[in-house]
Amino acid sequence: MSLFSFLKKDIIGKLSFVRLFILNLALGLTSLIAIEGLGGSIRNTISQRSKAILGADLTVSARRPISESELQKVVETLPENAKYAHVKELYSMVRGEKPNSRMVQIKAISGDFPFYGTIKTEKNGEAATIKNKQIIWAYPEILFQLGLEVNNKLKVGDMWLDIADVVNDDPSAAISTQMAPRIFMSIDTLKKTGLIKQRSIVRHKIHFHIPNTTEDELETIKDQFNILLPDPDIRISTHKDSGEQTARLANYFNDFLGLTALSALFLSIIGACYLIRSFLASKIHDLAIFLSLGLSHTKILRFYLIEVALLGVVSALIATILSWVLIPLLINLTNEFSPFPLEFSITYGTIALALAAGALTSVFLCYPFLSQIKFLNPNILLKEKSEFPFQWKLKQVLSFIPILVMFFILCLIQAKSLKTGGLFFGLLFLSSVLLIFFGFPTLKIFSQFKSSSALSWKWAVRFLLRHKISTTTSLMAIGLGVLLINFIPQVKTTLTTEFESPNKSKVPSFFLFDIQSDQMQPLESFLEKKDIPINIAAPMIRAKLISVNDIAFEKGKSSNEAMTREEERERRMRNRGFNLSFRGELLNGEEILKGRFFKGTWDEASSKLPEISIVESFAKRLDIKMNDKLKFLIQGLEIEGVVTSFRKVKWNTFNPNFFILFQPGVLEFAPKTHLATIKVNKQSRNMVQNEIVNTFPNVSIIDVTRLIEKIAYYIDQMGDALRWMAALCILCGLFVIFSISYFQSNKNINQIGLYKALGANNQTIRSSFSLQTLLVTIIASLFGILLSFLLNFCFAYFIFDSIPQFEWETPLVTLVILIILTQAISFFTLRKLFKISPRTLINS
Amino acid sequence: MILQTTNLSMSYQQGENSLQVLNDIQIQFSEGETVSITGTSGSGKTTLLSLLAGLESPTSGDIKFQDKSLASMSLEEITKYRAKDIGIIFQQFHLLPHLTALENAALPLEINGDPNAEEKAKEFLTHVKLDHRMHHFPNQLSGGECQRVAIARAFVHSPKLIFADEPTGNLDQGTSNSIMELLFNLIDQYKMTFILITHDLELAARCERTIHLKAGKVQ
Repeated sequence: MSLFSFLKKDIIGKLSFVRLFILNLALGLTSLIAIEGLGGSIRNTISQRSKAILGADLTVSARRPISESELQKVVETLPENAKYAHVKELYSMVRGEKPNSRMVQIKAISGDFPFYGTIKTEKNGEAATIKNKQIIWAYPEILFQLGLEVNNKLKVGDMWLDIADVVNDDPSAAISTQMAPRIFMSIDTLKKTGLIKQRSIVRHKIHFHIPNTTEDELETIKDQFNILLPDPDIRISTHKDSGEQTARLANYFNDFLGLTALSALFLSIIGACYLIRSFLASKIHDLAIFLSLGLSHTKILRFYLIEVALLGVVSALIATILSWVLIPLLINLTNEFSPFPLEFSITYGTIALALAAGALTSVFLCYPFLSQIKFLNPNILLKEKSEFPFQWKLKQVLSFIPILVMFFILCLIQAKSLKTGGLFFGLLFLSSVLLIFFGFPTLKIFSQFKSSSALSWKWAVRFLLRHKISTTTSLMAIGLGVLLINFIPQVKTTLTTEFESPNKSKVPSFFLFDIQSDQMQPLESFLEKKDIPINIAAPMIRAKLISVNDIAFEKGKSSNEAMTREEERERRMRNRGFNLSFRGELLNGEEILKGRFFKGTWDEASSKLPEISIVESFAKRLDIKMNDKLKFLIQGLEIEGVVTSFRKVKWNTFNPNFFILFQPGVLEFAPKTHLATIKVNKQSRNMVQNEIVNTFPNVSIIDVTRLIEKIAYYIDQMGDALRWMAALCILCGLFVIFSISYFQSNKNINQIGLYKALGANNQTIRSSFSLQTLLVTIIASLFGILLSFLLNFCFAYFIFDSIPQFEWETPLVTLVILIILTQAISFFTLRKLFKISPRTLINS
Repeated sequence: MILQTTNLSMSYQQGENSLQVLNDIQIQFSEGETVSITGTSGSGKTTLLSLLAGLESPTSGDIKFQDKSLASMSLEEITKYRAKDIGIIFQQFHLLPHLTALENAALPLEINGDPNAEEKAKEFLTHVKLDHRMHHFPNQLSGGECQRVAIARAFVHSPKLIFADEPTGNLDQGTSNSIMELLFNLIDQYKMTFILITHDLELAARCERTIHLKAGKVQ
């Protein structure tokens, strides 16, 4: 008989196992393939649109004007046919003829920008038309919010400008433009608005069009630019970086969804492990017959490995088909965070990867069990009763390493972060270990609660305690299922609470920025007249970090190298200027984690350096330690300080805060702008905003209430996608639990037959099995819920840097549903079995 | 008469075909009688035993236990019949692997709600010379020891009828002899009705009466 026909016969002979195994693995792989498909769609869309997103091949940008000499330095290195165009971006308040105002993002363009893609307007205007006139193009929501129409006027800074057209498609739209809609104008017009004051927050950009350059050549040019422009304030990005940057939120979201996908896969692996173990235990005689007929252990092992690889491939094929349904749904939900519509794409590479992952997962997870065939001796055929001789010595335990390593790598790939991926893997692994070591002893303690005189209780407890491995496996699978089912809603609660401030009454109504020093006093008087006190005002000084402990602080490495999310963040941090502030006391929502806060005002006469306080997570990213000496460059003047404390800031208070604070007495005379928060009652909010805009046109106002609403909307949208992934995870968990209950019930057929033959009535047997299931479900669920709280706590503390929040609804619902589900499975299986004669049951 | 059958027939459906295993069996068993049922493989011996023990229902005909028809009994009554009135010894022992010898032997007493189940089971195990193996699990016992536990389980609640289906079929000759010796001694001691299924004619001859089955019919 050929291997193929033998495999076919073998698979047909154990269809119930094969069906459960394939479905189990397919459910786990579906989520993974779907997330890989979503990631592929994001990557694919970015690579197709990245030049249009940037509008150029390469860009040089800074929060200060880029000097002519700096520009000349880089232009000289470019081929003759290269072109460049200046672009400036800033936030500002605008208002129409009706007294309504809104914050907008101004994008001022010049030259031939955009070099790629077109800004599509309602009247199909071209970018060239805007550069020659004193007009603007606006996003439709600005017109809607301010009740304006095309050809109406908009006050921008000191000027009234005609709204000449409405922008229908802006290829460079990013998430920031969703927070504040954009208007386009020419750079000349921007200059005339008077919005660019000396220290206004403006991003100055020079976009380069370098025809006929390959990606590698562009990277070389970028490296060259980085050498020529070493100032950390200057950022150089290619169109590829820009695309990545634009889709950052979508990518983060994809990473997070990836972890939920791994939760589903982990559950599948647990389920599949249980199934293969039960299968082997039930096939002991078949295997012994093969051995007695002269087949070697190695050949049997090889045969089964081929079979499980085949089952893995079939699972992956089913998963690919299922993910075809899931990907468009996820794309739809992710589009909320993506500035451009994502296009569905699933490559042959993804399918090949899925098939390989299916086969490898299946082989790796089955190997530790299948390899135990070598302990099987054909002489068991001569024994009356025999059990599979599973041995769990060091070597057998070590055979789990390949599947653990594979899962760990998947965690790292999905999270793109050693910290998040490692923590996720570590906590899952730790949870499994805790369930193994504490689940069973807890059951033992639990079993002593009730009087041993009740027969069904006695039988149930005896059965569970005497079947240690299957009981532990059930506890682990159900416990992990409940943990993963509950973990996602717990994290969601933590994240949602983080954004929805716990004390809304303390949240300011408006956040004012770009206030010039000479405007502070008039602003205060203006607000005082309206009986509106300034909650908190903070000076902001733009600075460059030039050295740490006298070692020059260098620019981050190029982004074309493979980077984790942490490395990406560090590169962004390194490649930007810093905003400093100073004050003598801690704000509400701030605490000192290490060291001590400033001791009074710095004494210039003392030999001591001024003190610096840094937000701990920020210091970690830049590898800054306590007592490090930091040297900043502020408008040509070097200021040095020493780190004396690490702080933690609760950002959701929406108070103006800074990563780096100086001791008072150092920066008072540095050129600065100011931030301030005010609280205004709901009725007069619009009026106050409009009056501030009229009186101080350069001051920008963020409506915090509206911002919170916007964030809550995004969280809700994320929640939708998370709910879908969580549903898949739950389905996976329930399927694993179903598989276990189903196999467990089938394993008990013989036992049920014997009980019946001995005269036990159906009620006693039913109660005994119900109690078995109930005990395992309750203990495993309680452990799972507790572990989900622990996991949420760890993620909140180590990853999100926030206070963990817990919710009780999901755990309770999960517990109730699981009890109903497992009891129902037990009830219906027993009902079926009770219809069969005891003789048939005994002989089955 | 403790047990009697009337026109007892049993057939199994195999696809579209019906397989007649027992055909119009009429037999009676007196109280305290030892009867062997012999026949070749497939003659219907074990099926007859499972019908007599109430483990399955006949296709037609009836079985009366102490003049009460099993067919007329409710599910509860049949369960009670199995719990109180009969003890079964299987060829494959059918001990629960997760229970010790003592717990296996005590099962019928527990089912009958006997508060001294464990004590009585201990006594019986001592009686069958297994006092030193009481706390061992079936996989730690030899075949002969397992069958002794099964015998203890069948006798421990003092049923009126003992059914034994090829009780030595899985044992070597020496062990078989000692098991049969033990069985007959216990039957003799407790004066129970004993129905033995065997194809061993020598063993069958030890019973007071032998019924031979051939192709589902009494010869």
